[in-house]
Amino acid sequence: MTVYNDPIENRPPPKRRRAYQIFTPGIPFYRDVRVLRLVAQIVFAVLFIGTLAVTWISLTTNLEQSQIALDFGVYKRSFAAGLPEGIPFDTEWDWAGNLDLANSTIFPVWIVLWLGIAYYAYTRLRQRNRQLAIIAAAVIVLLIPLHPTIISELDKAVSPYLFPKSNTRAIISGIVNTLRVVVLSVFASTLLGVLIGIGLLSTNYLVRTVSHVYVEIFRNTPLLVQLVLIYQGALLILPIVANSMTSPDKIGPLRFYEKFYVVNVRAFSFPKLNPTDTAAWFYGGLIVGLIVGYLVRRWRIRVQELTGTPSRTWLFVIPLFIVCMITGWLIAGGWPLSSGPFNVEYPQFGRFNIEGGTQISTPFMSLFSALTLYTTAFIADIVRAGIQSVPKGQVEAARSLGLSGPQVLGMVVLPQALRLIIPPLGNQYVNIGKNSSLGLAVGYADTYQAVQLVNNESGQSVPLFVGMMIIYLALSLLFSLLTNLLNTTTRLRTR
Amino acid sequence: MTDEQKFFVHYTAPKEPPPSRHPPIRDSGIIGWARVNLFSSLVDTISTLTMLAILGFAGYLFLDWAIFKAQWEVVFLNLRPLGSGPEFPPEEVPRIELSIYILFFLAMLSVGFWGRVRGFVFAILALIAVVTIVVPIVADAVEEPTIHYYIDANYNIRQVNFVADEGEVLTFTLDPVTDKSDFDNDKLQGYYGNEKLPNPAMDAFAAAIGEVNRGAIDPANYDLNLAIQIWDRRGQVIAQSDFSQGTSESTVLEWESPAEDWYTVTVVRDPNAPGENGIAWFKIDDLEVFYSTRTETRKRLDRFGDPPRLNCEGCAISTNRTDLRFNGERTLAQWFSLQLAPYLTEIRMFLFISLAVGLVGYGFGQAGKVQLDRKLMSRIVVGLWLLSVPVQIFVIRGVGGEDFLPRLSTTDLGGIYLTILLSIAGILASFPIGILLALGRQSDLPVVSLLCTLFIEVVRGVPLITLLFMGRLILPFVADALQNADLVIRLSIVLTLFTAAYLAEVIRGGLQIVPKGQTEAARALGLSEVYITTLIVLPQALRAVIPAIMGQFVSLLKDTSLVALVGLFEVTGAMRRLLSDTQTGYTLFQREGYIYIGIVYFILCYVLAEVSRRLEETGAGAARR
Amino acid sequence: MRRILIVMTLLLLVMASASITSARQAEPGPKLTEIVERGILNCGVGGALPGFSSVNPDTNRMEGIDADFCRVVAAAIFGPDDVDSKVNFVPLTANERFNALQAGQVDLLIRNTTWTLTRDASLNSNFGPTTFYDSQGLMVKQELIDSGVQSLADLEGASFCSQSGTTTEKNMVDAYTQLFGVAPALVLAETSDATLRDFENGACDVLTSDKSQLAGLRSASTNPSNLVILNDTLSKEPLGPMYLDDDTQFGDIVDWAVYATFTAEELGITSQNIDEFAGTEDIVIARFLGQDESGLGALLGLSNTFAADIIRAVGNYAEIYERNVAPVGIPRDSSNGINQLYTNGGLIYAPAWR
Repeated sequence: MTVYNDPIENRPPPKRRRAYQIFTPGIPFYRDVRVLRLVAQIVFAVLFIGTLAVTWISLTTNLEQSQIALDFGVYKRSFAAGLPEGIPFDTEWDWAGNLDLANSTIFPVWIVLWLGIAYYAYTRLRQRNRQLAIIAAAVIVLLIPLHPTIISELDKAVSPYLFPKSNTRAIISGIVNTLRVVVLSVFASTLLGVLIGIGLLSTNYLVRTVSHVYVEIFRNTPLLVQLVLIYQGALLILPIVANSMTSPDKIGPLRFYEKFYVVNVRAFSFPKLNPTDTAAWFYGGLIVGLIVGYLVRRWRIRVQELTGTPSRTWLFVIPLFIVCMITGWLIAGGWPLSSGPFNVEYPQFGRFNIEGGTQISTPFMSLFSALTLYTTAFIADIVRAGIQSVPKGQVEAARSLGLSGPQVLGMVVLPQALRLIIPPLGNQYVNIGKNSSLGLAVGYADTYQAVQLVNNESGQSVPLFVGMMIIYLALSLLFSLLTNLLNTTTRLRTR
Repeated sequence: MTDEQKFFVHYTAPKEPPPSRHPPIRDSGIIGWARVNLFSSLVDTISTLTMLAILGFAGYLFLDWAIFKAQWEVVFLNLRPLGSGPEFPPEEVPRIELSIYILFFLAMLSVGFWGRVRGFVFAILALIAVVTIVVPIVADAVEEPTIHYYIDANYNIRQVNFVADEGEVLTFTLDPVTDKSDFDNDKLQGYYGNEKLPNPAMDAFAAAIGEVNRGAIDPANYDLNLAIQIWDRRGQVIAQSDFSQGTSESTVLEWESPAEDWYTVTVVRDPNAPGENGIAWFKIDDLEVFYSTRTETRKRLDRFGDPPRLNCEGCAISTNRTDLRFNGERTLAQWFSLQLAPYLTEIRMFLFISLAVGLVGYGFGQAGKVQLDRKLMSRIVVGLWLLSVPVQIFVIRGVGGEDFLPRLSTTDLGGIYLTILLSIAGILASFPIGILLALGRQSDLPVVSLLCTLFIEVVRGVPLITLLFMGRLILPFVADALQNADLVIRLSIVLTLFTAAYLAEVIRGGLQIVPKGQTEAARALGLSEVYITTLIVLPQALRAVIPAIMGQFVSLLKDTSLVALVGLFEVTGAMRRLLSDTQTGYTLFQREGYIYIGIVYFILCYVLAEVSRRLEETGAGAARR
Repeated sequence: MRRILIVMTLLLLVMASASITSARQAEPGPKLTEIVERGILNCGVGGALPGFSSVNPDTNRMEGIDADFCRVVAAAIFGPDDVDSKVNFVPLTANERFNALQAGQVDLLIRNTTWTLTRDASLNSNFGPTTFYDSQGLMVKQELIDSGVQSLADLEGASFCSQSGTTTEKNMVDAYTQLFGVAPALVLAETSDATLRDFENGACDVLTSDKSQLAGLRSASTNPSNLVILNDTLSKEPLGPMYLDDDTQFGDIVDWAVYATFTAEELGITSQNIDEFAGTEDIVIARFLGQDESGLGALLGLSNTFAADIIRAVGNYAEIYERNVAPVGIPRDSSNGINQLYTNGGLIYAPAWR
C-alpha cells in the first residue's frame, strides 16, 4: 500500500483497475449510489405499473369471458328508473345556448371580465418571467373571439352524453344532490363546531361538561348508526301528511291565510321566493350594498388606525346595507308590498302531498343532520386545540390593554388560532364530502345512489365505479385546494 | 396640657357596636363552587339556566320514552345474534366467548404490565357487578303488570298461552265498560300506540271513544254474552266462568292451576245469544310475563315441553312472542323488572367471567412488573400475544368433524365479534404496508415518492363504501384466487389497504418529528440506510405517533360498521337484519335497536380513546430526548 | 435502503405473479362439478319476503317458494336426503343481486326476479322456467279508498314507495308518466321491509310492487285489514330462477328440475304418495321416476331418479305453492288462475318428459 504524504491536490489520480470503473472511478458501478438510485426507480416503476397493467388485463379478460365486456359507453345509455329528488333530468338542457353570450346584453361585461383576467395573469406572472406573462395575457385575450367555436366543439363532444334521461344526466343530478348536502353541512358544522369548541373552554362548568359529553358521544359512535337512528326516529316521530304541523292560522287578532312552514314525515316545506323580471334590480341593490359596505369598512378601519376613535364598523355598514337593499327593492317595484322582485310561493296542501314552496325531504334532513352533528364533534375538538395553542401571555396582554372578552377572542385569539385550525379543518371538510355517500342508507339520491341505480341496469360496474371514484377524488381535491387557499391567507409570513 | 392631662387620653366607649362587615363571598363548598363555576356573571347565569332548561327538557323526553314507552326486547332477546352473528350456530358460541376471554386476558395482562389502572375503575366495575346481581333479585319482587285486552262485539281476543305452577292462583276479569265517563282520551294515556305504531286494540278503543262521544253507541246497552275459558294443552276446556248474560257486572274467574303445565285462556261468546253491543276489558292479574330469552326459554321448555298450538275458530294462532309485547302502562319498578333485569340476567355470566379473567390478567401483569426482570416479562407478554394468534385461529376455525370442534368458516361469523376481528386484523395487517408506504412517500427517489403519493391520495380521497363495494363486486374478477375467497377476506383486504393509506400519513408525521441529527449521527457512525431506518428512525417515529395510531384504530372500529351495507353481518348489520324481520315484529323498535348499537360502539371506542389518552400522558407520544 | 428495495420488489413480484397465473381457463369448467365438489349449492334469495323467501323465526329455516325451488335444484343434484344442509341461502338486496350472480357469489338466483329482455340480453344470464306469474300492483291504505281512490288515475300527485333497482320502479315511472306526463314522486328503499316501513310511517301514499310481494308485505304489516291492494295491473311480472349463461348443462339442470315439479303435478305425484308409484306399470310415470332404462337423468349429469328425489324432498308444484304462497293470501285461482296447471287453464306447462 502506498502512503501519500503530499496534500491531496498533488496526489496522482487513482488508477483505473477494472473496466467497470470507467464511469465511477474508485467504486464498482453496482455500489455507486447514483446508479443504484436510477435502477431502483426503474425497477419500482416497472413493477408498480406492471402490476397495474396485469391486474387490468386480468380484469378485462375475466369480464369479457363473463360477457360483460367493459363498455365505457354506459354513460350514453338511457336511464329508465327515477330519482327521488334532484334537478330534473328528463328535459332538454341547452347549456351551450345559455353560454352563447355573443347576443346577450351582458356581452360587454363578459369581454371586460376576460380582459381583467388577462391583466391579472400578466401582473402575477411578470415578476417571474416577463415573456411568459406577455404570452399568457396574449393567449387569454386571443381566446375571446374563439369562444363560440370552443363552445360548439365542446357541445358536439358532450351532447351524446347529455340527452334527456341519459345515465350521465342522472348521475349529474346525483352530484348536484351531493353538493347540496355537503355545502350546507360544511357551513352548519363549522358554525356549530366553533360554538361548541368555545363552549369546551368555557368557565361555566355546565356548558363545558355538556360540550364535552356531546363531543365524546358523537365522536365515538359510527356515522352510519347515527344516520339510521335519526332517519328512523324521524320516520316514527314526524306526523303523516294529513296531520302535518303547520304555522298557526291565527295569532291573537292576526289571521294568516298561508302556511309559513309545514312539517311532516315526507318533507319540511316553507315558502319559496321566485324571482320575477325586476329581480335584477334587487340583486343589483344587494351588490351595491356589499361594495359600499366593504368600502365603508375600509374607511372606518383607517379612521381607527389614524385617529384612534373606535371604528364601530358595523354601526355604519349594517344600516347602509339595509338602505341599499330597500332602495333596490323599491326600484324593483316593491311598493305595494305584494308585487316586487319576488313572487312568494307558499306550500299548499294538495290531494296527497304538499305542493309548492321549497321542500326539504326527510332523507336530506337526516343526512344533513347526521353529517353536521358528527363533524361538529371533530371540529369542536380541533377548534379547542387551536385556541388552547395560543399562548396565555397573549390573552393576558390583551386583557391588560383593556379589551373585553369578545374582543380578546375575536381580535387576538382567533386569528392566531386559525393558523392551527385550518389544516385539520380542511381534512374534516374532505371527510364530509366522502361521508355523504352514506345517503344510500336513507334513500337520498346522491352520487353513489345514482351510480348504483345505473349499475343495476347495465351491470357495468367497472366504468361506473371508476367514474364515481374520479368524482369523489375531484371533490376531495376541491376541498384540499380550498384549504390550501385558506392556509396561505392565514399563514405566518416569515421573512 | 399638664402631664396629668396628657396621661389620661380621653376615650369614650362607643354606644353601639361597629357595623359588622359581611364575610367574604364563599367560594368553597358546594355553594361556593356553584357560584364560581355556574353563576359567576350575568351571562354565566343565563347560560347555566338555559342549559339546565334544555337538559331538563331533553332528558325528560328521552327518559320518559326510554323507561315507559320503549320496548327493549329487541336487545335482550337477541344478545346472541348481536354478539356472534345471526348465522353463527348457537351451540358453538362458547368458542367465541373463549376467544374473547383470551383476548381480554392478554389485554389486561399488557395493561397490568405496561400501565396502571386507576382505583375508581375498579370501583365502577364492582358497582356494575353488584347491580347485575341485585337488580334481578329485587325485580322478582315487583308485581306483574296487569295485562289488558280489549273486547267488543267484533274484536276477537287471541288466545293467550301461559305457564302456571302447581297451585298458582290467577284472576281473570271481564270488566264491562258501561260508564260514559270511562270513555275518555285520558284512558288511552300510557298505551303505546299512535298513528305510526298502531295497536289495534287501542285503535278500536279509540274509535269506540269517538263513537260514544258522538252518541252513536251507548255503552250502557251492554248485552254481550261472554265467558272466560281455560283450556289445557290439548285444547280441553278445564275451567269456565259463567256467561255474563248481558249484565254489566264483572265476570271474574279465579282459578287455581292443578299442575305445572301450559294452559290457554280465551274469551268466548255464547253462540246462542252472542249479544251485539258492548265493550269490555279482559284483564289478567298476577300472570308472569315471561320473555323468550335463551335462559328462560330453555328452562321453560325443559320443564314444560313445547307450548300448545291450538286452532280455534276466529282466533289468531298465538305464539309465544306476540303475547310478550306488553302494550300497556309500565311503572318505573316494572321497567327494572321487565326490561333491565332480563338483560342483566343474560349478560351476567359473560360479564363475571370476563371480569374474573381480566382481574387475573391484570394481577399477573402487575406481579410480573414487580417480580420479574422487565425485559423478560416484556418478552413473555409479546410471546403470549403472538402465541394467541394460532390458538385463536384454532379455536374459531376448529377441526373437521361434528364432534369436537366442527369446522367453521369466516362467513359464519358476525356480530360484535366480527367487528372486533375486522378491526384488529385490519390494523395489524396494515402496519407493514403503511410503514412501507410512508417510507416510500418521503423517499428521495422521485419515482417511488410519486407513485406512493398517488396511491395514498387516491385511497384517501375516495369514500370507504365505494372501495368496499368494489371489493365485493370487482375484486373477484381480478384474480382467480380471490374469486372463491369469501366476502370477509375480500373486505378485510380492502379495509387493510384503506387503513394502510391513512396509517402512512400518520407515520409520515412521525417520521418528520424525528430530528435530523439522529440520521446524521447514525450515518457518521457508518450504519447503512436500512439499519438507520429500522433501528434509529422507525422506533422513534412509531413511538411518537402511538396515540395517532390508536386514533386510527378507533376510526377503523367505527368504519367497520359500513360493511353492514355490503352484506356482512357485523353488529350494525346484525341489528339491521333483526329489525327488518317482519315476522317477529321487531320492525317497530328501530330506535331501541340502534341506540343500543350506538352504546356498544361508544363503550368500545371510548375505552380505546381513554387508553390512547393515557398513553399520551405517560409520554409515549413525545419524542424522547 | 437496499434491503427495503429488495423487500418491496419481492412483495410486488408476489402480487404480480398472483395475477398472472390467474386468468381463467379458456373453457368455462362445468359448474355441476364445482357444485358437487363444494357439496353445497349457493342460492341467492331475498330473505325478507313472506311467501317467497323469509326466515321462520321459530325454526330458523328459510321458507318460501323461492327457497323451495332452491331446494328443488339441490335435491336434483345431491339427492333427497337432508336437502336443507345442501343449500346455502345468500340474502341479497335488489341492488346487488345481479352483481352477486355475475361475481360468482351465488350459483343460482331465485329472488322473485322478473324475466325481461334487457336482463336476458345484457346481464349474460338466462332465465329458467317461470315459477310464478305475477303482475305489478298498488297498495294503499283504507283511508284513501274511503276518500274515493279507485285506481292509478286517481293518484295524481301521490308519493310512491318502491324498492330501488327493480323493474317495479321503472314500470311505475312509465305508467305514471304515461297518465300524467310528469315523473312521479318516488321514495326508494333498499329492501322490501324498508319499503313497508316507509309506507306505514306515511312517507308515501302508495306502495308498489309485485302483487305477490304486496300480499306478503300486507300480511306482515301491523294492521293488515287497513291495507287494500288495488285492481290495477301495471305490468307483467313473470318470476323465475336466473343463472349465468356460461354453462348450458347447469341451465338445463335448473330448467328440468323446475319442470319436474310441474310434471309431477300433472301426473298426480306428490311427496306423500310417491312411494305408491314404485314399480308402477304406467310408462310415463315410470320414465318420470327413473324406474325404466331411459336414463334421462344421466343426459343432464344427474342421477336417473332425480325427479323422484325432487318430489320426495320438496314436493310437486301444487304442494310448493300451497305451502308457501297460499297462506300469504294469494290462492291458486287468483288472477284468473294464471298460476294453475295448463290443464286447469293456467300457464304452468312442462315440455315433454322424454
